[in-house]
Order: sequence, then C-alpha cells, then structure tokens
Amino acid sequence: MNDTKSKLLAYVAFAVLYLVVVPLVFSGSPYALGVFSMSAALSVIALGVWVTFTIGRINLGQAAFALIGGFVAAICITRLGLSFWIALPVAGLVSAGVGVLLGLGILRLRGVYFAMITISLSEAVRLAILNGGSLTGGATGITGIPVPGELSLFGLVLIPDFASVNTHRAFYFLSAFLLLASILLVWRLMASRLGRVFASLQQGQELSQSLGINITKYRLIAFSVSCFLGGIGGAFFAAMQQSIYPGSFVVADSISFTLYCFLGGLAYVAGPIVGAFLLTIAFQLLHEFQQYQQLVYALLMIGIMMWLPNGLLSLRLPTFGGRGSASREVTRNEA
Amino acid sequence: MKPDRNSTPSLLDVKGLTRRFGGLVAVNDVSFSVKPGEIFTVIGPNGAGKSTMFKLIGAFIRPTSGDVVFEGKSLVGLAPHQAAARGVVRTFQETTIYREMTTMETVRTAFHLQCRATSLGAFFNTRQARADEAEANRAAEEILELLQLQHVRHEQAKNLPHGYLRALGIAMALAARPKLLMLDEPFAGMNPEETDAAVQMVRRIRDQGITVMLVEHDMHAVMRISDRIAVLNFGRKIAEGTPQEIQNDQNVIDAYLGQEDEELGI
Amino acid sequence: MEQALVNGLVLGMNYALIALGLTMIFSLMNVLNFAHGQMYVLGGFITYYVCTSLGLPYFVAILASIAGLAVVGLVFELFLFRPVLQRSAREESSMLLAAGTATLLESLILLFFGEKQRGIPPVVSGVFEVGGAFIPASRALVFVIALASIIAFMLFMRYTRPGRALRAIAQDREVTALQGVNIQRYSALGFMIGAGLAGLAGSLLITVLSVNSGMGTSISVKAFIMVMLGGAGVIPGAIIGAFVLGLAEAFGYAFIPSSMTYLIIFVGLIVFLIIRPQGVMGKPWG
Ligand SMILES: Nc1ncnc2c1ncn2[C@@H]1O[C@H](COP(=O)(O)OP(=O)(O)OP(=O)(O)O)[C@@H](O)[C@H]1O
Ligand SMILES: [Mg+2]
Repeated sequence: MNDTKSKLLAYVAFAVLYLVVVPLVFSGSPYALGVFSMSAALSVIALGVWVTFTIGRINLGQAAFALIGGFVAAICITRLGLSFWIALPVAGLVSAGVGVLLGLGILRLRGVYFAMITISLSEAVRLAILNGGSLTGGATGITGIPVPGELSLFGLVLIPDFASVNTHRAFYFLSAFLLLASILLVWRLMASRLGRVFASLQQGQELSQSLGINITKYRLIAFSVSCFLGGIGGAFFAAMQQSIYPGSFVVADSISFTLYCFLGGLAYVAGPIVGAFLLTIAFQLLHEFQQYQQLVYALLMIGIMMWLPNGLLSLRLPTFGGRGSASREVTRNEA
Repeated sequence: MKPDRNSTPSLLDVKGLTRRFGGLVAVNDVSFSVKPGEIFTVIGPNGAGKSTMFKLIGAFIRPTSGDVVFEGKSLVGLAPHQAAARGVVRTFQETTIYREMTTMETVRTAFHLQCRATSLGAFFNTRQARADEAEANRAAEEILELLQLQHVRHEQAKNLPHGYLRALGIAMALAARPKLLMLDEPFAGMNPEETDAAVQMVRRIRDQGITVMLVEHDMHAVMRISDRIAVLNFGRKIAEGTPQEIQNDQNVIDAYLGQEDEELGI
Repeated sequence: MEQALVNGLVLGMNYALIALGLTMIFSLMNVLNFAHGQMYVLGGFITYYVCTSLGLPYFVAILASIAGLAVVGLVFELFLFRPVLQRSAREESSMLLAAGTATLLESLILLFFGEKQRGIPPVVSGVFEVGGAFIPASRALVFVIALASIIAFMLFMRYTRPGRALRAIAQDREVTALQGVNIQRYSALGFMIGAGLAGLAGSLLITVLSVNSGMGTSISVKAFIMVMLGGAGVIPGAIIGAFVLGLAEAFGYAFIPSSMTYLIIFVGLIVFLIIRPQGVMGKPWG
C-alpha cells in the first residue's frame, strides 16, 4: 500500500508541476507551450504502445490508429459540423473499434509476426486514407480545421471557445488534461486484476488459458485501450495543427513511439512519457541538429539496446524492475 | 474413501476418444470413467498418448472423434479457459511458469476464476473488486501454506529453487479451484523422500474433495496412490482396474510392466 | 495482360532475392532485419556510383554492391546484433536494434548520396517479343541474373558444407551447436549473405526502377509482406511470397491506381493471415 501512496504522491506532484508551474514559467512563450502540448500528445499515443507491450506484443501499428483518430476527428468537425468535444471521444472510440475488429484476427500473431503485420497496418491505413477521395481529401488531407469551440452544459460554460482565449495556452491545458487522464487510465488498469492478467499473457499464454483466463478477451481489452489512446492523441494532433495529412503519422512514427517506451523504460508506466518528452524537447533545443534527427534517433536506438536496455528510469530506480536485461529475458523460442 | 462404483455417477466420462496427428493415432478409441473423489492414474510407455489424453480432456486440442463428458456435459469444442471454468485444470511442466511474477502474484493471478467483479468493475476498483482482492489474498496464503511455499512468496518464479517449481505449478492449479485436477508426471525426478512427501500432498488435495488424475512413470508411487489405473499402449487402452488388478494383468505385464520389474518393486 | 505477367515475373524474381535474404537472417538469428530495404537501396546507390561516377562496367558494379553490403551485414552482426543477442534474447531488444540500424543506414545513405532519385540507363538495348508481350532486353538480363543467383543460392544451401550448416542452424540451433558447429561464425556468414542478396537486388532493379534514399522502409515492408505470405524462415515460402507480390503488384499497377493496389494487397494479406497465420509454407505454431 505504501508503494501505491508514494506513486500517488509522485502523480500529484507531477500534475501540480505540469498544470501550474510549467504554464507560469512559459506563459510568455507560445512556442514552448506548443512543444509541451506536442510532447504530451505523443506521450498519450506512446502510452498506448506501452499497453500492448504489457501483453507481450510489439505494436508497430500505432501510427495507423493515430491517423484514424486524426481523420475521424477532422471529418466529424469539418464534414459533419460536430463540435470538437464530441469529435474527440468519437475519434478514440472509432480507433478502438477498428482495433477490436483487426485485433480479433491479428492478435493471434506473436513476436516478429505481430510486428510485421502492424507495420503493414501503418502503411495500409495511410494508403486507405490516401484513397479516401473527398471524404479524407486524398494526398492533401484535411486542412483549415477550426479550433475547438465552447463546451457548455445547460448554459454553464465548462470550456471557453479556444479562439476567444489564448489559444496556445488552451491547447496546452487540453493536452495536459489528456495526458494526466491517460496516465490515470493506464495506471488504474495496471494496478487492477487486469494488469496482472496482461502480465500473465506476456509470460505464458497457454498457462493462462488453463487457469481459466479468456486470453482473446484480455488481449482485445489491452489492444483496444492502446488504439483508443492512439486515436485520442491523433485527434488532438489534428485539432492543434488544424490539419491532418496521410503523412502525418507514418511507419517511422510507429517506430519512434516504441523508441519512447524503451528510452524511458518498458517496466514503468512513466517510461513512454519520459521518452516522448525528452526526445521532443531535445530536438526543439537542438535546432541546428534538426536535419540529423534521424541519425540521432538511430544512434539512440542502437545505444539504448547496447548499454541501457531497461531505459532511463531503471537508472534512478535500480531495485524496481531488476537490473540488466537478463532479468526480463524470455527464451528465444517462446514466440 | 473408496467410492462405490455402482451408485455414484461419474465425474468424467471419456467416450471413444481418438486423436490423430497426420498418420499417427496418438489416442485411439479410449473410454473410461472417473468417479468423484478418486485418484485415477494413466500409465503407459513413452509416446503412448498420455499427455495427449490430458490435452484432449482439458480442451487444449480437439479430438478427431469421441467425446469428453464432464458432469454430464460435453467439453468438446470449448476453449481451454471454458473447460477450466467448468472445473477441469491441468498442470504444466516446470518450465511453464510466469517467470517474472512472484509466487504470491502467480497464485493471485491463478485466482482469476474466483473473481466476481467484471473487468470494468476491476478497473474502477468497485466494492466487489476489493472484496475479490481480499479473498484472493486470503486464499493465496492458504494455498501457499498447504504447499509450504510461504517463505518464498516474494521470490520471482525464475529465481525459485528447482524443487519449488512443481509446488508452484500445483499451487496455481489449486487456486483455480478445480473439481478435476490433472497432474502430468508430478513425481518425475524426485528422490524417494520427496516422492513420499508429494504422495501425501496429492492425498491431501484429494481429501479436500478434488478429484485427481495423474500421469506418472514412478510405478511404486502409482501403485500406492491410485484408486484405479488405466494403461495406454500405442494410443489404445489395454487395461483398467485397481492397482492390484493392473499388477496381475497379463496384457499389461507383456506390454509394459514386464520390462520394468525393478521399478515396480514387486 | 501478357505485359503485366512478364513484368510481374521479372519483379517477382528480384523480390525473391530480397525475401530470401530477409528470411535467411530471420531463420538463423530470429532477427527481423528492418534494415533490409535500406540495404537494397544502398545496393542501388553503390551500383549507380560505380557505373556513373567511376565509369566502370555494370557487372563490376554488381560485384561491388554485393561485397559492400556483405561488409555492412558483417559489421551489423559482429558489433551490434551479436552483443545484444548475447545479453538478451528478448524479441523486443533485437527488434528495436534492427529498427535503429535501418534508420542509421537510411540517414547515412542520405548523408553520402543525397536525396536525389537515381537510376542507371539500361545496360543492354533491344526488345524481345514473346507471345504478345514486349520484354526489353535489359529486363530479360535482370531476370536471368536474378534467376541464376537464386539457383546458385539454392545449390549453395543444399550441397555445400556451409550451406548445410546454415540450414541445420535454422532447423535447430541448440542441436546444431551441440554437434560442434560454430554458430557465431555462421550467423555472421548468414547475415553477410542476406545483406549481399539485398545489395544484388538493388543492383539489378536500379536498371528498371530508380532508387532514392527514403524508399527503404517501403521495400522492407514489401519484404515483410512476402515473408509473411510464404511463412517466415522458409526458403520456398519466400520465393512463393515474392512471386505472389510481384504479380499482384504488376497486375495492380496495370489496371488500378497505384496506391490502391497496395491497399488491396494489404487487405488481402491481413485476411489471409487471419485464416492462415503461419503463411503458405510456415510451420503452424502457437
Ligand atoms: N502436436 C503434435 N503433433 C504431432 N504429433 C504429436 C503431437 N503431440 C504428440 N504427438 C505424438 O503423439 C504421440 C503421443 O504423445 P504423448 O506426448 O501424448 O505421449 P506420452 O504418453 O505423454 O509420452 P511421455 O511418457 O514421453 O510423456 C507421440 O508419438 C508424439 O510424438
Ligand atoms: Mg507426456
């Protein structure tokens, strides 16, 4: 229980820092707030990838679900005239729904097979959107998406029209809310019986079946949560950029999300968030290196695998997940 | 303790069970019944089809023909987790464990079937979910005590000394609250003292009201522990009966026991 | 119609080179070589550079590209995959590492060869006509070289000592190691051959389709499709997958818009894998 308390404390501290301190410090810099908002959105998406890791699947298809979320939101807003506040959950749910449908088939695949099929999925969705005709706008995507409007309930204004306030700050707070809510969601999931079941799927599917665990159901739950987070992140991205293209999320992004998880550390819920913030912010600071971003990402991926297989957080908490990759080793033939 | 074979309805009826792998008939038209509260053992030479029989009963693989009837209902066509939910649970080899879970976590995971809260309820930590957790903790402690695993409760399975792994496997199976527990070679690799302890253990499990099916090569233990024995050879059942009957069965002696007189200890 | 068939066969033959390399590395080390497409692209660029900047004959360029990629494969295996695999056999580790090598190779290609689209003119001129389809001599040449290479590869795998050792390792690593085969050396050799095949495919196809530094990922994805179709780690499966994809692509491009072709291929693939997760020739598992 003590462990839970200290984690809760860390969460509250982070929330205060993120909701109060950061916006105060950077209130004069819309640019910095934008970077934070983007990091938060990428964290939400990467958190989804992390959830699929917990059931022992390497998900390289998250770009597909971010794209689906982004386009569903954009279509809801521009084509159907819906409010952003409806489009956002719809985007998440549609992504999750597509995830369930696809997952019914592809979640039976494991290891490299799952990685290969999800990579193909990233490509397939991009192509589908490219061929979406006037609905998706083809190669030019959907642009000129209006910023989120007012959200009111029985005449009570809950959220003001983004256009009427400091838009950058409004997006910042929206992203902060989404991030904090996503962390809470995943954290609760992992702390409950479901988290244990997910871990059991990663470590021995057949054994879990023999103990009466409906592996299909729990794999689907994990995957749909992952896709939901991808869709929400994508929808936020579309709203903030006010545009979305088939090229907004591609295979390379799917791989980056995985990199975020590894950089932070696969054993920690905070892992993908640390990874996403660190890399996104680092590249904003190192402007002149922008053209070498690919190269740096590549060296990072290789470097992590060579020297820091359990991620940055394992440095701070050496007792938490065990040290050295041997502690999480699985046998070669398990897949 | 001995069940009256004529009056009690059987718990498990295996009827004409057959399973082919390509040209090989691993289990060939096998029928038998297991009564509630029995310890029923399947013996036979290597490759006779014993493990395949367990997989068929546990619904891990489907029979080519024949039926498995448990408490009057067929298990054929169910998913393994559904068979487990009906009360048919099997143990695995020692290497099949949740490597990174502690003993306690493993047993609590295995308590899955006893959890009454829905997935959504577990997520929102409803009153039912909290009650489940408390009950899981209590039951897990009980099982750990029964199997003398208390002092390794916070040890990750992959770090457990070899001797504990089999107990962990049984602990998992017990946590699923089986009506029929299937143990595949539970005494393999044990020295006589360990086997004695394990035999006592299996008896205690049976005394809790759990029917036990065994596959075992240690004839000495088999003859001591079993209420009834079925003998498989090349997928076919060649004999069934009490240990006494099996030891005197000419078919069995010819096909199997004859070669293993020393092991038999007779 | 006939034209699409001919194009599909030429494409399939070259794709087979790519898929064979990928499946070989996978079966030996259980590593999914993400960098395979980038290796192909590098092969194309080496060929371009040797032919146009150095003005050397095409066949020299082919040899240079095979050799260059074999070295890249060796370096990857020795300095990256070997230490990581030794420490942890977790699939995630080798997967991220492989993705890293792909990105690394891609940025290095961009750095050294620039972002321009590069192709080389057909090496031989002339056109054959076979049953109503026109086959440019250059495509015929590419087809023949690819076919000869595949036959040579199969013969190597079947009849030479190293070939048999490689197949034995792919079958059962532990048992082969117990028989005293030096697994590490053969893993390196397998990686070199796999990369070399990708380089060869790049050399051959650059006479038909030009390359650019950014197309590696899409080639890798194609290679994944072929391997998934045929069954990972199975040599005949890779060849089947390659021809299915080559033909599907050629027929698709002939009759429907290009991005639609791949969309249909992807949808078909997913449906196929739902029905048969292990591919046409893969062993059932799970
Ligand atoms: N999945 C399978 N595919 C093909 N053949 C199989 C499969 N499973 C088992 N077999 C074959 O079926 C036969 C029976 O195997 P099984 O494992 O049931 O024997 P067993 O009686 O448990 O033997 P042991 O005493 O060695 O454990 C063997 O010949 C085995 O090779
Ligand atoms: Mg057996």
